[in-house]
Amino acid sequence: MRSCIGILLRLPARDLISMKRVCKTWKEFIDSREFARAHLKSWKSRFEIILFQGVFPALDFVSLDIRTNTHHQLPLRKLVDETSAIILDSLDGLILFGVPSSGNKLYVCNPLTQKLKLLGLIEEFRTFYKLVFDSALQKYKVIGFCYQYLVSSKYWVLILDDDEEVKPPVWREVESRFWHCLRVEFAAVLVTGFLCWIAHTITENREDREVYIQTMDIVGEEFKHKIKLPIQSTDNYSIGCKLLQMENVEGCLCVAIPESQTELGIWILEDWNEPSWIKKYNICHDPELGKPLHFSKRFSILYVMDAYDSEKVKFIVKIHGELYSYSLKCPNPRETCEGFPKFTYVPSLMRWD
Amino acid sequence: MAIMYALKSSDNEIFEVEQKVIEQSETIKKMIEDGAATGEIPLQVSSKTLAKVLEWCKQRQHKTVENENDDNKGKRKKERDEDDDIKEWENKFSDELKADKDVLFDLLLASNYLDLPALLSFLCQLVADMVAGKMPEEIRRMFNIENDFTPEEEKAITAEHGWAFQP
Repeated sequence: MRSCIGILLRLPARDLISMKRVCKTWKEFIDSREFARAHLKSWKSRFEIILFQGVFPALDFVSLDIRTNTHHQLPLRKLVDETSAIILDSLDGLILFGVPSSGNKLYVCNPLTQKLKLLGLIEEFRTFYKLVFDSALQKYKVIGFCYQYLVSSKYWVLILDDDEEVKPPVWREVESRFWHCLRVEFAAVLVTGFLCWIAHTITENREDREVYIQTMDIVGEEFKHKIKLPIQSTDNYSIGCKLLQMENVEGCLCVAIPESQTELGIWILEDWNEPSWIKKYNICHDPELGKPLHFSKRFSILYVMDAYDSEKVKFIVKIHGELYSYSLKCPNPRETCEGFPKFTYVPSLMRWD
Repeated sequence: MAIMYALKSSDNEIFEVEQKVIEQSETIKKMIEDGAATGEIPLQVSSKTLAKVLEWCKQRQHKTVENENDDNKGKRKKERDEDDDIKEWENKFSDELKADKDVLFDLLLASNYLDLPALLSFLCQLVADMVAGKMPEEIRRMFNIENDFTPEEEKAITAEHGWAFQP
């Protein structure tokens, strides 16, 4: 049995779906929660990138496996039988998405196991949604944030539960005032139980603003750290242009800061309590390799690590809707692909109940 | 002079092996430590499979000894060459196993029984690569598994995951 488990754990999640048809023992095994968790753990670093592809009206989501360069459909529209869907977040193989065409319904699904749950409606006053995992409850939660410029903001929490009732779960208002201004383009990253985002103090004078990273403890549902950035605003090219990007790199908080038009610094947070950053990578663009890459344009960075070969660490950078990939071994060559990437996705058998 | 041990396969063949090589197996290591291993060590593994196990262990042992003797100078290049050698050896080893599935599965069981985690993980990956993308029918044949689903049950699973089964 141990060798059987060993084999199944090494199979991609998509293959496991058809393995369920082999026999009852295998099906039972693959369906178990423990297996789903163990499988996710060993495949977590092999995530794919969700792309929005196609020509109107056939727009749909596909996920791209960078290693094999294969595309897979994410049949969200089929699941809800609607013509449009917007992905709001993706975590552990689960996808949080909204359907604007049907009164802004909010759903969570696992596209692989085709489990779907209606969570209610996307309310106007809840601007951003994040899918998180509460390690104390051992349950997934959705946090809805409100963005209101210069006004105290709020956030709500909803716990994903196993009840199979038709009735959607209930939102709970947690904090009614917080004075951390969220950026209009809210991008929060989940790192070791904390949700982190870039915020700034509210001052009359824009120059006096302090930009920092705000964290929120997922379990305690309260604000925790206020972390200074590795580079301070006045002298840096990027902070003025608000071009910071955050990522979770091997369980560490990482900030990508453009340092000039052709240079991107990747900083890793080493200590949370006494914030200390180290600059771990530096991505330079070599202008001899075709079209120059300007980090002055809006970009987002997605990180991909090869668990089997650390030499093949790759950064996937998105600029102007195009994907560029940088391998650390040979930092310059890049590949591009079509579509608009925003989220990473790990095909998994995880469930929220 | 290296300490040698005699391993006895289930079909009574004797293999003389250095202690260092065979101590990679946690099971045998424990037997030696417990003092249960005076004279021949009887194992529930066929001679054909045991020969393969030892082939693997010797290769691994070879690798560790060489690394210990290296000084730092020129080590990187040497490591790279060695990596290539190991890759080549592993490829040959897996090709032989792929050609003879009975040995492969016996070896899988043996690596579990002898507690050889590196071999177990290597073989699991090998089988996983062979299994990936195959239809359930082929897998049943491969592993000699009986289909214990009723046609209705099978239909239900297919319906549940509809699109996933489309080629």
